[in-house]
Amino acid sequence: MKKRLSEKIKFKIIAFYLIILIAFALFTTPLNEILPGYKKILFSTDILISDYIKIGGLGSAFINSGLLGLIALLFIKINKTKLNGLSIAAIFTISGFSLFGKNTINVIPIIIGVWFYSIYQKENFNKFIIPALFGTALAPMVSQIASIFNFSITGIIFGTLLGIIIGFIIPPIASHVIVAHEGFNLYNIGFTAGIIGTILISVFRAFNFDFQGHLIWSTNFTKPIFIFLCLYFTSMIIIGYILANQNNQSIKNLKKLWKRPGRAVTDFVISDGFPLTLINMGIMGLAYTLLIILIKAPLNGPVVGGIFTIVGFSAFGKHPFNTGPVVIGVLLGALTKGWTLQNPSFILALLFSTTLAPIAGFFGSISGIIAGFLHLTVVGNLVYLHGGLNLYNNGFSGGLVATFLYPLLDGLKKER
Amino acid sequence: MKHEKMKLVKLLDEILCFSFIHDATEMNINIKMDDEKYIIQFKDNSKGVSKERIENIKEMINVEKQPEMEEYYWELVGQQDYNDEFTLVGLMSDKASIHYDPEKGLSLTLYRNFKKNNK
Repeated sequence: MKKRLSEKIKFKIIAFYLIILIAFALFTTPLNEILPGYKKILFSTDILISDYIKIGGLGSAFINSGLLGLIALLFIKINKTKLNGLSIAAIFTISGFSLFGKNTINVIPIIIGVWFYSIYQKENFNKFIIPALFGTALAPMVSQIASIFNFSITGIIFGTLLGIIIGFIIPPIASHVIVAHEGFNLYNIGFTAGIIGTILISVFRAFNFDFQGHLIWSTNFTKPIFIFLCLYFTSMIIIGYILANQNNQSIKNLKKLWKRPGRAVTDFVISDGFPLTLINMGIMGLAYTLLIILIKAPLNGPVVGGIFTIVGFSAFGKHPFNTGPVVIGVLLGALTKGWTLQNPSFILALLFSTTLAPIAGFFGSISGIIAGFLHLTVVGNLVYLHGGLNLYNNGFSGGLVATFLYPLLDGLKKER
Repeated sequence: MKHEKMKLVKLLDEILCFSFIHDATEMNINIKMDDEKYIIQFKDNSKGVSKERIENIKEMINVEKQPEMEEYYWELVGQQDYNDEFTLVGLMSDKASIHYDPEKGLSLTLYRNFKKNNK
């Protein structure tokens, strides 16, 4: 049996990577600029696409990212949840989206809503910690309602109430919709939040309330972020390598990890151990950072958020060989549809399309390329449905594409 | 605990998938229930399962139970007839043992605790 790392060591390592985000913020931005910037972040509408680096500055955005990541980590520890691949994915996803849409105010009502659901079910809250953390995808709903009332007490009360209702309904829907795509869309809560968002916005529109998406997108911090991310992800590879050596785990076993299809539940921490998972996370982070630079796109809040989400899910299903074909499909889509590679929606689709990695891992590269191509086509049509209030719009698209493709590919696959 | 019996059925689905994939022609399921747990005993005559595969399954089914994973993913168990990963079986079981004899087949025992008042 594999020697497993203690929860204590895993906790320390993940905490280190979140504290480093705060250290980067303090290193790049004076404290007297961070606090006013952070206030701007807390009181923004957060609708897609809201780059916190542009809204509050580089330091404030990274402080928010590190802080929310740490809160998620502490939340996991307090609730005695294991640091497995899924919880690591949740931490890095929250940390990433805290660069463009999640903040300490708008996520709390949703978590409270999930807590109420656990009380209603007479179950321990730790059973629902995954939908509680990922469910914060709909955090902009809270901010948006509060902003309609200019962040007055009335607005905050209404926003909070809506957030609690959303949190309450997320867990049963999330665990049910997963059957539709059979675990081939890794961002399952994105699919869930897309459905909830679509229904809620339809109700709002019926009463003449509508929300307009916007584009707040910074382009001038690519260099410092690039240097930081290269060091950040390289250190993951080095620490993973040292831990693998200390625990007598051969680096050659990475090949085994890279052969896994990645369909949920493929938890690399459970199946391959934490050290190899950390190496995979570092490699994926580096690869996708370099891809962004290669296509001459900027590194900003949403883009780094996308990279962090990939890194998180590289503990839970993603690796270079199942994400590669999907990304090629998205790039082919851009070529045939005449998209520029620096288009913000395209860049986000490119990164988040990797939610469909299990399609490539399970049905092969051609299927993965088709999935990526379809994803780029579908994702642009969905923002209207939920009014830009579901931060995991690509997860919504991934859910639809996987639900559409899985039965087709399954039908074509020969019986074993 | 909600859907407790359905979860049990799903666990059996996953095990049966494994047996069918490995050409079993005879399968026996025995379920016992007392005040605090279910015990599932499963035997088949599956063929050609490598030692490495059994070791891998042994590791997967002996992973510590993780309620948050169970609650989120239980509807996926046994849902897919190509898959015999057993990861979720381990995450949903409190204790498990497996034995494989190339001549006789698979013998698997799973223990799953439950809350009596909500079963």
